[in-house]
Amino acid sequence: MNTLPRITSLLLMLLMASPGQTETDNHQPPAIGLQPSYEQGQQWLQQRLAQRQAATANTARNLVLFLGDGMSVTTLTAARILQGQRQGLSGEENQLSFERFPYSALVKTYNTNQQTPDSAGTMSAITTGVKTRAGHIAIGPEQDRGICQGSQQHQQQTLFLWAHRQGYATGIVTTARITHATPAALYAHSPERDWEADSDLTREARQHGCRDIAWQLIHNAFPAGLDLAFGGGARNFTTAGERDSGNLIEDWQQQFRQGLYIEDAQQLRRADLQQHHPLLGLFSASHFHYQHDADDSQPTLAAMTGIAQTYLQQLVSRQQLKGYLLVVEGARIDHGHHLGNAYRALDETIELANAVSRAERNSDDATLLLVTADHSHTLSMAGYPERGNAILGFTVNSAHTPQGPVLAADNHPYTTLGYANSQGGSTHEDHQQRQPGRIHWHDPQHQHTDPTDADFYQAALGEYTWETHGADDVALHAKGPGAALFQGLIEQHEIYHRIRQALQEKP
Amino acid sequence: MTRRNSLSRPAGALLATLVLVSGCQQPQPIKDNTRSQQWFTQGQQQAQQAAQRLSQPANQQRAKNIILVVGDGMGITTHTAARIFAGQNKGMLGEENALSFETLPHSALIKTYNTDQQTPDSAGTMTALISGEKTRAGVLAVSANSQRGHCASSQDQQLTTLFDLAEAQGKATGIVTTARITHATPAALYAHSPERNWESDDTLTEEARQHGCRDIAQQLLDYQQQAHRLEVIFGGGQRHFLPQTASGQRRDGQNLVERWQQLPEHFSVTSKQQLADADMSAGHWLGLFADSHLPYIDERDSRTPGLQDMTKAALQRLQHHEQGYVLMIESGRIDHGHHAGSGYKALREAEELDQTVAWLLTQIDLSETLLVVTADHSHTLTLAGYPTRGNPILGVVIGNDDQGRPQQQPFKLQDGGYYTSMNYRNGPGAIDWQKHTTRPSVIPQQALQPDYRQQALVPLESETHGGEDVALYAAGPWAYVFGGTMEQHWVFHVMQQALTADSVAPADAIATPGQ
Repeated sequence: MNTLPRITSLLLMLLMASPGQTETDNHQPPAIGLQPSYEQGQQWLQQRLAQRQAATANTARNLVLFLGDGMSVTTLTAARILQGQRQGLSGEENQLSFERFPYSALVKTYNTNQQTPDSAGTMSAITTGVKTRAGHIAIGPEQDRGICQGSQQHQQQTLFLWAHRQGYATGIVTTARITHATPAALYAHSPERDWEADSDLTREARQHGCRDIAWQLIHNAFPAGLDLAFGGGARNFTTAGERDSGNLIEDWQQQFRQGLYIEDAQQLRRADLQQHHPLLGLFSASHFHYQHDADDSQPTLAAMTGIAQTYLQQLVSRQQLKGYLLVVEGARIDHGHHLGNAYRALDETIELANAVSRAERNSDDATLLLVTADHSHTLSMAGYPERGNAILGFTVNSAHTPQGPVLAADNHPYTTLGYANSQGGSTHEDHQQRQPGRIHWHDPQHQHTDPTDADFYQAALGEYTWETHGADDVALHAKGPGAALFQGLIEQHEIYHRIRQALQEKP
Repeated sequence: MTRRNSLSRPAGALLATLVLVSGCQQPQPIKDNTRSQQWFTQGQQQAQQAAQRLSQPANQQRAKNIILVVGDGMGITTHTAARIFAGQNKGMLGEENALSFETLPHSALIKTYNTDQQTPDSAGTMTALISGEKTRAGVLAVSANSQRGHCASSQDQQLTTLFDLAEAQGKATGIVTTARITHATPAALYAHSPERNWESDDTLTEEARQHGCRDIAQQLLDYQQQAHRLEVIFGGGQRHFLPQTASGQRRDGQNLVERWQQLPEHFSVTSKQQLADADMSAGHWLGLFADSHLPYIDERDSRTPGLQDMTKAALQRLQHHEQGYVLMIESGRIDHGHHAGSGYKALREAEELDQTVAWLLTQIDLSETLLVVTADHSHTLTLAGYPTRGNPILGVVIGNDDQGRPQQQPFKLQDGGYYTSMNYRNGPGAIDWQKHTTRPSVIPQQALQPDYRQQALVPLESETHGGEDVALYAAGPWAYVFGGTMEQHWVFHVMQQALTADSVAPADAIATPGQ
């Protein structure tokens, strides 16, 4: 074997070792080199062996579960490259914070009645341990969607309700409406995810006593023991918004005299939160703005995560609770994809990775950290861009076509990222300056748009208002006590049971 | 592995009840009638089994054998689609199925990029898997310091491979592939070349000849004359071993098959029957079963062995070696099906890999054999929403109604057309946008035909690889080390650890980073 290249790559590795190291703390193993050399592989192996050796069978006391809504495997790769490129690296060698976790599993996401699932059915699987139909919020698969009658008997106990009874503190953080499918499946039961406010209820639903999701948050979840909920969707809580009747915020304030209702980022930062219990933060009328479009009035996902975790930790020690369960959703990855706008989807994924870093720094060694997605999207990453090619850009491979982007058979360039389906060039509430990409190949008007622009919309094969989910497996990354339970290919509803196993419920 | 059996049995009586209860508008029946409690119990059992497995000590024995299985181009989307395809062929709804290798207990996500390409090729990726370092696209078992297609730059850059390691341990070695045995994935194990396309001497450049680079088929023969020698190598690619005068491609007039047979204890076979009849208790076996790649499964004749036939013979030979073996099995044509824009072909080949590994699992002892199943890279296949449960994986999308029951008609996109859930981003299936102002509708019956090409957006002669991570599943000694998101070349280091376990410094000598 020739040693010269090995030495050269070792030197390169040492030279390059610093830039990838953005998060340093005691819980992080020392960074290994970025050069994909033999020595780097050995370094990784030794570190991994030491990590596996040190791993004990300790029971987890706390859980922080991160949901990247719609965060497919392709999204992870693309977001990793974008984050790396923003740091001046080629990008491919970068790792999102949680990609350094020691364990990973692949997760089958289908709903009992859909090959390609929706967020309600998938999150219900995670929060109840029962796979169910699309559109259901913690209701079993026996029930028809949108039909209230009979649905009560198929309500499934949620992880949070179990946790309250076991003496855990619980909290929810999301960038979606707090009444949206993913957060709702933690605290509500509904055969229809769209019943977010009372004005959404059908006559049949009212007749048979189904309550809207916002109502259930205020009148069921908090009284049952929920300690904290941060998100958007204030409009579903008052008649000034979407409600036909009632002011749920006032109801909540009357019910919880010690509670604190928070409406903006400044208040969240300044309030002495520990003086209050419980906490309800609704920071926007509907979903949060995308991070890219947000101003200071909206807290970041990382900030909310840090504050929520600290709050729960102190609550646990003050009240001598068993531990805490915090669920954090990066909700707008999904929405970026649905719009067919990869930039925002990836940007939101990076923000989720930041929130995970924050939680990782905040966590003690009794905390199980899980990062997964509820379902995939149709984003794909085509060949063959050269190393370090702008992930949002046209595909360039200067070794083969030095004069510019690679051209397809029709002499048009193509972007590395694209969707199987998405909207054409029409506007959307989120984007007043929409610059559609090459949605249709026959449309010469939009050919020269800059694909790295935040408002670029990737070309898609099929025309559809709201780009669809994908059916392929999603990833789950795990760290902490019980993390080793998350390996192999698992059904999504098993996540619930593996969490319970990690928390080692005593009969 | 009981997972797939415990669910989704059709429950006829229950189904009838549901139809009665839900009124008079005759809703379509729900296909999966697994009850809440069944899902719950099944999940609980899986979690308990996982916990039980973890309570066993990790297997840190030196591996007697290693089997590396590569699904060429088998991205994660291909896994999901192939699982549904194989399940539906067995009469299941499909989604609840698990491919044989998806039942292995350990897993990781693998970053596939080459040192010079964001979306990689098979030569660079296989080199990473079997040498422990990443290199450029197009090169075989030479370092990234060499330039592709440039012989002189590659001469001092040869990398030590998994097979070198195996031979140093006195192990037998073998290769099974449905591609040409001189193709990138198998070739990386015995050849060193700055150009994957130098499969026989007719493609060597003047520069390559001048600097003494040898073609890949020739290097196989060279390899057999060294201390290390393969025990078995089965696949296609006869044309690179035969002279042009004998319908081959070699210009140097050599018949490398004959030369192989002239080596001591070296034998060759060319048909399924010969393979089955051969005495695999000793010797070095060359099996060339096709001029180029093996035909796709549906196009094989009775003379052509399948992946499982070849694997069976290879294992027979290798298991005779008392010191153990290292075997690489490649399903080479999943990749080709994708490149051709044919979802059916890709899934059919993946299904064959599923069956081959299922058989393999009945033959090997996982306490002494490290089994690693992965892909070299992905493709641009996507699975769009929102087909109902059990919708034929190749079919057009039939969705659900407001109550979550199957529709009677396929769903139309806004462009007015039916669409399949499987699509490629680019390739030969691309819509000719010169001729069409909107995407043409997919004719439901056509989509189910084996020769159907899925619609794609970007017109390219060959559909491209995909750049996203691929999956790895593993079992056996040291498999517990896999996990998280790993660089592809790290896979080699785990296999090396498994092969050489005792000789490596104890792990606790390193500073412990903790969990």
